Amino acid sequence: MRVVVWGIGCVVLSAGLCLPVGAQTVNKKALPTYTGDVAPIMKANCLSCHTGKTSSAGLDLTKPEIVKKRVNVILQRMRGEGGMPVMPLGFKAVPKEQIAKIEEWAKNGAPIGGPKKLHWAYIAPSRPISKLTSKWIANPIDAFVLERLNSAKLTPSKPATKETLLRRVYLDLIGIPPTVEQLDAFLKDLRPGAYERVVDQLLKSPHYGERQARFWLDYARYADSNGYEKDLTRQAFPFRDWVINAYNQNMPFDQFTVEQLAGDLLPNPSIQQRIATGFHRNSMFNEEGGVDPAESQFNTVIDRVSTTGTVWLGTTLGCARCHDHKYDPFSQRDFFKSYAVFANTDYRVEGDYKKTFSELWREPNVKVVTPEVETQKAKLNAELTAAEARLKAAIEANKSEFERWKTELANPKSVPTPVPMSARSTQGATLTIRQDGFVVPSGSNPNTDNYVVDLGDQPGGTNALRIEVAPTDGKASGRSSSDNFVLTAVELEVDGIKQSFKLARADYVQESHSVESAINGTGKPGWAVYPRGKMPHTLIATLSKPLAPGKVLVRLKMESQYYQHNVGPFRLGLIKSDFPFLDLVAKEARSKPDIALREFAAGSAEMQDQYQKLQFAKQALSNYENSIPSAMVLAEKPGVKELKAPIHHRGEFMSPGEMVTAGTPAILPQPGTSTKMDRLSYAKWLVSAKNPLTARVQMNRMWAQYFGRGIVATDEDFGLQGSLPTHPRLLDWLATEFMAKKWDLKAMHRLIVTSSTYRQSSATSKLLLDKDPENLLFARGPRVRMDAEMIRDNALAASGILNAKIGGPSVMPYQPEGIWGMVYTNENWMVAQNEDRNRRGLYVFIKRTSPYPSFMAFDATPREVCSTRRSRTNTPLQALTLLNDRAYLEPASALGVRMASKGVAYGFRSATGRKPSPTELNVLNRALSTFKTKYGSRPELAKALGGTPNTAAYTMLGNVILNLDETITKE
Amino acid sequence: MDQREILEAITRRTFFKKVGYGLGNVALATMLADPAFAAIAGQQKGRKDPMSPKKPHFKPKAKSIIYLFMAGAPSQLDLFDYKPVLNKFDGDFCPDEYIKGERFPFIREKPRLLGSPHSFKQHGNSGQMISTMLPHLAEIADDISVIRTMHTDQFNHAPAQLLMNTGFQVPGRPSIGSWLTYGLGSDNADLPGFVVLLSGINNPDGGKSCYGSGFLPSVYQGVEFRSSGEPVLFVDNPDGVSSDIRRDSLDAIRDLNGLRSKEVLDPEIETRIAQYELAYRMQTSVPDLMDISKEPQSIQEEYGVEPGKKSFANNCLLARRMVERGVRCVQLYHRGWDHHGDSEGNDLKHGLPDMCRQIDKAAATLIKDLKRRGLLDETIVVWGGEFGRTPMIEARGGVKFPGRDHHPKAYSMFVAGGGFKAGVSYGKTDELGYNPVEDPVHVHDLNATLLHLMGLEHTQLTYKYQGRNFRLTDVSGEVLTKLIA
Repeated sequence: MRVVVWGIGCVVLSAGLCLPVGAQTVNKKALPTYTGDVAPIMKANCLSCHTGKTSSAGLDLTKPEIVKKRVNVILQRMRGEGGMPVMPLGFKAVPKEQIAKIEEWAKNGAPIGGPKKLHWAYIAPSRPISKLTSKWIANPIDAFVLERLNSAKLTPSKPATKETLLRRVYLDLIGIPPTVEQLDAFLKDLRPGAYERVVDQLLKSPHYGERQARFWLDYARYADSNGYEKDLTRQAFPFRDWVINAYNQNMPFDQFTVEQLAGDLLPNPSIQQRIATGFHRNSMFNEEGGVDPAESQFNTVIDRVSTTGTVWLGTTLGCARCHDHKYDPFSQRDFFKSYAVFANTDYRVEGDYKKTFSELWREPNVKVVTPEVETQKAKLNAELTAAEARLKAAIEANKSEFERWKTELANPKSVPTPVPMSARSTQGATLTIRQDGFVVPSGSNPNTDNYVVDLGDQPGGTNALRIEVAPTDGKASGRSSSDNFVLTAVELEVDGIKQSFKLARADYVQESHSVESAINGTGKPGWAVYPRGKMPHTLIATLSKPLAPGKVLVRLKMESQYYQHNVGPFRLGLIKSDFPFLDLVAKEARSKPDIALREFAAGSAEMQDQYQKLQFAKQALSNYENSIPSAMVLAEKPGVKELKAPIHHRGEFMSPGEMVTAGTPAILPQPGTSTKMDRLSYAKWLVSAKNPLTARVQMNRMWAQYFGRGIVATDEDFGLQGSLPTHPRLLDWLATEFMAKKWDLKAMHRLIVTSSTYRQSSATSKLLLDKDPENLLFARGPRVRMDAEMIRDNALAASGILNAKIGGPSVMPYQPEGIWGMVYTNENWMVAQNEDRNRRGLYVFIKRTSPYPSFMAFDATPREVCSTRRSRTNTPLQALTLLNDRAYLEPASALGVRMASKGVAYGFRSATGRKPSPTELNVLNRALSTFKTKYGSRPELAKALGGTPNTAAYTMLGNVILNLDETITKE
Repeated sequence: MDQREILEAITRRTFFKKVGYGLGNVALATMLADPAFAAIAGQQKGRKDPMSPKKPHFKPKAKSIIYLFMAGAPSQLDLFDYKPVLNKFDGDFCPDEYIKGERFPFIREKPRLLGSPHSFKQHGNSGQMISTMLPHLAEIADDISVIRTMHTDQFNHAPAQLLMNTGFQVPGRPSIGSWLTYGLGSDNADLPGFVVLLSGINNPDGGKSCYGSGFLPSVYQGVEFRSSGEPVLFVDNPDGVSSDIRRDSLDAIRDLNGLRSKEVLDPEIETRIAQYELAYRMQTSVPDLMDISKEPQSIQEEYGVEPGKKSFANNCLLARRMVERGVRCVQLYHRGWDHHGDSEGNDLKHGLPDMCRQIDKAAATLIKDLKRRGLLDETIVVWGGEFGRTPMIEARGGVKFPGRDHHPKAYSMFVAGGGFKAGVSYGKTDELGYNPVEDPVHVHDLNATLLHLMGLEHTQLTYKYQGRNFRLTDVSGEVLTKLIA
């Protein structure tokens, strides 16, 4: 039999509160004991140096037998006797009464005590029962809270007012405050169960999942970039959206666990189950040159093991990476047994270290193919198939012609290139005619120009004009400084009669330009070739009808808005062929049959139309496929029978040692040997009924969401160095209830928010401040400053501009310029110009090396590593952020607009959830009239704030309201 | 309550209400006697915010630190560690015994040695060897001590910068400035205790984690003072909000918060009222501090300031103004020392002298100026990067431009003032400058020494997080007693 011990001591205060530090005995008459008295004094004063193998002076005071043996020396040093400096060195001396306690213990023979007791957290919770009865008890939670209040001689506070309670539960369950209209409806609803109905409605809201995800994403170290030097963007949001959906569907926590840690190992995993494994893909990733991929993987797996320990077990497993855990019963072997579980994930090495200087360790991604995506893809595929069929049919109808085309492709006709009789520039450039027919412009390069070329008498029957441009005589194809030209019109006359063109094609057309515009008289945008002006190009234009014999005059016009974009050396040719474009594509088409088909189709207007439609259909499908997001997932390396890993000496990558097989920490109940140990069986073990930690750890965090502090304050450490639970029976009841309810999260949330404990007023009193300033006993409701994201959401909601869209890629709201100053990347913070600016805080892009400053001011984390507990500070930078950040000025202005039409009280209620008192209203109105007067006399100032004196005054009043302590506090 | 909760409580001031309301002296004493809590014991007197001055572990030699971080890693072999033997064997293959089993970030082929294309001279009474590229620093050779045997564990920029600044190569640990303000607070209530100033081609590779507070409460994170736009984010009133209108709005906020405080009695509201007042004072104190045009023309010229620009010289002058005002830690990052020789501008012949010109005069003037004002004795100045550079040519793109790869095994930094010996060349590397042969100094040793001079015992300045007492020097670090005056 193991004996449970609730840690190692309590401070007993006058009010009977129990704090997990310090050392006083519960019963003054009893003799001091080692665990109850001496160990806590050692812990508080000595153990930060005198611990484990690296103890100062080799004196390990975590060992009771050493304390017993050396007690006289310890006492001497604590008293500062014998000319030696007082211990602890450099710190406040040990209080006299504590020294006396050790002395008393020593006098009584320094008893160490009975058998070694197992720490409470490692023994499965048993179901506590409270026999307490009271009208106040709404559910068992209250009974366990009341037990502690009774023993401290405290009574619960009165219930919170309806409006305060409504705002509290809205913020807690969905993270958005109630609107004034929702407040009014609730105040009017006097039927029994009004509150419970709201709770049920909120639990069904899709915003419930967003609120819960805010916490989980901290644990999962979710971010939108890789971290470290390059800190490139990653597409992580499918995982974020998976978490939101899982909460909204009320996925049981055991399934939630298994899918995230091992969704890929489930039988026939769905895409969603694979996306869930993104949990551990959220680790950071260094892409700097010269990084060793194997070391990269090692660090990542370490992060995964430590994170798993913290999130599920509330255990500092990561401490056992370098050596056996100093305080808790976890060995380095335990750590690397867990490491082996996670170390078999698949990856490939990309790049060649020797050639490219980059060798990266890449894990797999999957396309997020949802049923909607499937439907859309099927639709686009069908359109593509139809377009292909139509083109095929059109070509089929011209089959004999296609045969002729292919024959000509095999035996191309030569194109005569007459040497022009004359060539002149209308704007004064010099045109020189060469013997090979090329005309070479030189001399002045006018802003616009026309070249008039006389080809002399030509035989009839030709049906197309060919224009070749080519770098010649050291000149580029175009005369502009960028070697470009813009040919805006081609005209051809036979004996003074202007001919019309039908179709035109070129081997290359600059983006946003066209050849058609050069032959159909529109003149805009014309044919241009940037950035390929240093290469030769050809344009072929077919004539509406074959030319009659006669004198041929060709005019090339360069009359675009881009000055000096005149054609360089060029040559004209006249084609006589049924397939005049053949010349343009012959080389390519001869080697590729599908190109031949395409090129043949391009020769006729109707086939070209079908061909274009096919191209559009192909493009639409490929655009859509590219737009389907990828999710980062885990996959297992196949074919490994038994997972193993070396224990790394001192936890260092370079020092692998003895091999261990995958497994779970030895001190905890084991999963049994029937199944192979891998991520899947590890995940199932975490949420098995045997595991003493998981349910407690989760319920403790859920409690902390509401009360700002867990029943165990150190929610990440349930070990010997962690805090003791303030309400051990409550914690165990919640944990056992959670498992009994089959890990139903919504049910547990409902229990907490419908308890009388939760529904108390959070106002405090002199008595409570005196007896329980930190509200450890819950004699009042929680009054907690909102987290960073909620402060933003509340401001946006109160001012009526919150964009409640759920999910999708992360967004970039307003952020001052110059925050991102990254090394080696050109990525920029692009402030969203649409309503994405007003999305919830959950969706704000998280760049690890440069997190969103106004969130950081309010204690958000950069999501580099797993964090389960945020600080809650109160600083001047917070004040400056709320006062001056444009991201808060926009809501202030919107709130101002609301107040201008609906009144000041309405604005105050939107932000705080309650009606202002007459005194408060007075302060607000006085401020408003001051602002009106001042802006009235300085309209230029009002204009700078973006409005009239009246709107500016209201904006400032909105600013005041959004800065109130109450506005950013959950009361 | 665990340690972190106590710290947070302090930021909300409820802790002291608690003391006042009688948590019981015994329990309080117990709490404060815990070494982990001792650092905050000073909280009981005077100011009651997380940045209020706290009692050090022992009498400090220095009150402030100015850390000139040369991100990118300057070449020690061309600046401070003179190696005539390396020059002699320039172009020869590096002997195998040095490089056997070594992995370099960019060197691939068997590397050849690279002598310095620059010359060195002895300076001052101390006779320290300093490159001719640093004429101004050379003038104060007797005021600075060069550590030639720095070594680190990381050879990539981001992890190495994190290791230098936070004692660990993975982001998420508190930086040295955070540890210092956590341990000592700051002497000026109207300014942040840990300020960061950036210049150079871009921000440090390790990102804001280089000066983040890690798991310490965010009040201890380095606050960036910017050279363009608002000096501190959000310190300026928006367009259209004049300072009198801001005052009016703050009055209304104060009155409304005061009314709520009376209603619900939460001491945190009183703290918030105080923080808004402090924010208002910062709106004046910060622009005043940043206005270097108030300095005499001669001083501006001596530093070589370029008003309105993102310049190292401006930042040096600002650093002096900050320590004068009681800021505990000022860190300057100047990135651009990564001279691989992969292009003309990024080599030892062109790039390195250019970087030297950017910092030499200003850094030297800073030390001289502090000395003139009697501040050098109580201010540590540290100069250096995250690792050194190889004695071999990198030759990534051929040998046209001489450059060196990353080298974690030996590099040089210099320190001045704040209780350090002056004019000492500390430690010795081998003939090629490859490995230390005398008095090696690990990153943790340097950090232990910096904390020591600030009055903190590095093994005692701890913070418990996730079950473990963390410290800046992880699990090692020896104070460099030979370098202390």
